[in-house]
Amino acid sequence: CDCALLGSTGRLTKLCFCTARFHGEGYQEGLAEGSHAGMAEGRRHGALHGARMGSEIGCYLGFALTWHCLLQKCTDPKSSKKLRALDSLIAMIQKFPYEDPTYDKLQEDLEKIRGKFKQVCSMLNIQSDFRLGNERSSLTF
Amino acid sequence: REWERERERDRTVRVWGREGEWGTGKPGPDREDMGREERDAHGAGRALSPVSPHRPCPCPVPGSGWACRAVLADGHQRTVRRVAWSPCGQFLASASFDGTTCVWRRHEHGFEVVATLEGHENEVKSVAWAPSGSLLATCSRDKSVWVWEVDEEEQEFECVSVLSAHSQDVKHVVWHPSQELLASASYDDTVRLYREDEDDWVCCATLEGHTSTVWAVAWERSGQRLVSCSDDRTLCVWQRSQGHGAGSEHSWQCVCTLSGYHGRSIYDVAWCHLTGAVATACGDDAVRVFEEVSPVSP
Repeated sequence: CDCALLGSTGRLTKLCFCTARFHGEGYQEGLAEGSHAGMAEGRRHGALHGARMGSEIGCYLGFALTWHCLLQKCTDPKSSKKLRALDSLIAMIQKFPYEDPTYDKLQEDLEKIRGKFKQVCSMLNIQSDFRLGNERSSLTF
Repeated sequence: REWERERERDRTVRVWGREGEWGTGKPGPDREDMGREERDAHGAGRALSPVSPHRPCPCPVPGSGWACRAVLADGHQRTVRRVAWSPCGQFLASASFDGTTCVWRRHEHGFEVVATLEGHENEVKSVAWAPSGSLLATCSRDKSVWVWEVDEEEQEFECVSVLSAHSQDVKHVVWHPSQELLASASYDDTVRLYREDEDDWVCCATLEGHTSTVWAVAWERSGQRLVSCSDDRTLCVWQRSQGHGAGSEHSWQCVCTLSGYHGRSIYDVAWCHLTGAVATACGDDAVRVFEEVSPVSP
């Protein structure tokens, strides 16, 4: 505070220091409040997106395991190809690091899983964006 | 024989041939598979005339010696964006904004759909056959490139990979002249290359350098180089180089950038496999032909 340079009119000096102090305290309070709110929002955001991702991948896994069961007994070459693709999808999903949000290839691996899912749907002649009848919330991601 | 085909806003595919060929000598023999057809008055508007299947094609001869041999309607619901002949010449693939790719088989009296490839979420921008004829690639505004395996006997097509390497609309796909290596061009300013790796397809290279949409890519006959054209009005020539160490990936370097020649976006490029000349299609109303100049020896 420049007022301090003006000399020793006690009250003026004290006033300047007060201003600076309140400014500083205000800043600290704001920073604390902002950080707190940011953390809370971040956690909510993470939880929401994590849940969506989990839901999507979970859906693919359930789908793949079911079809694997259905085709397991078939020995014709076409079914073998389908089973191989299903195995590949299941392996990709099981390999996915659910515990590590800082995994650097998260989005890339997720795209690969989505791509493999679409390929499997194409092989099984199923629409990859299935909607559940008349329900309002459709199973799209 | 030389055949040409045209894709139009009227959602049909037309097949053209030299007059006098196809055994009849008539400009347009009866076709059973022709449903609706449209009178083609180039640029002057169209009249739809519902037609019985056995009426001859009334298309006027568009230039000396060429006649419209077939109109393939009812294949697509929207603009047909690209067509491609298979290497054997028996199949024709058509990519459409309706999200599907139709494969037509040629037979004595016309063409019939043998497969409709679905899966892309929106407009399919390009389709290309691999030189072996056993693979087909499609790309779309949905940012993905799909690779399909062809079973010629069964005439069945199976999707073997869905590649989402690009971050934007993919404009063009084209196969290497001799290997099963695929190139794609995108709105995300990059060219990507893909190959098969242990039962699945992977993106093995990303060619960065353009500063705007890459519209098309063309391979040199040897397959050691490719050229890309862009919205940024430049052409980039990329050269393959051996990776370091055994079994490592080839890397690609931009060895030449041709800028200052084109006044607008360059929409298409073709590399002649006979002469080595490169031709470009540009938004400034010109076609340009480039030839490689040998470096002056010191």
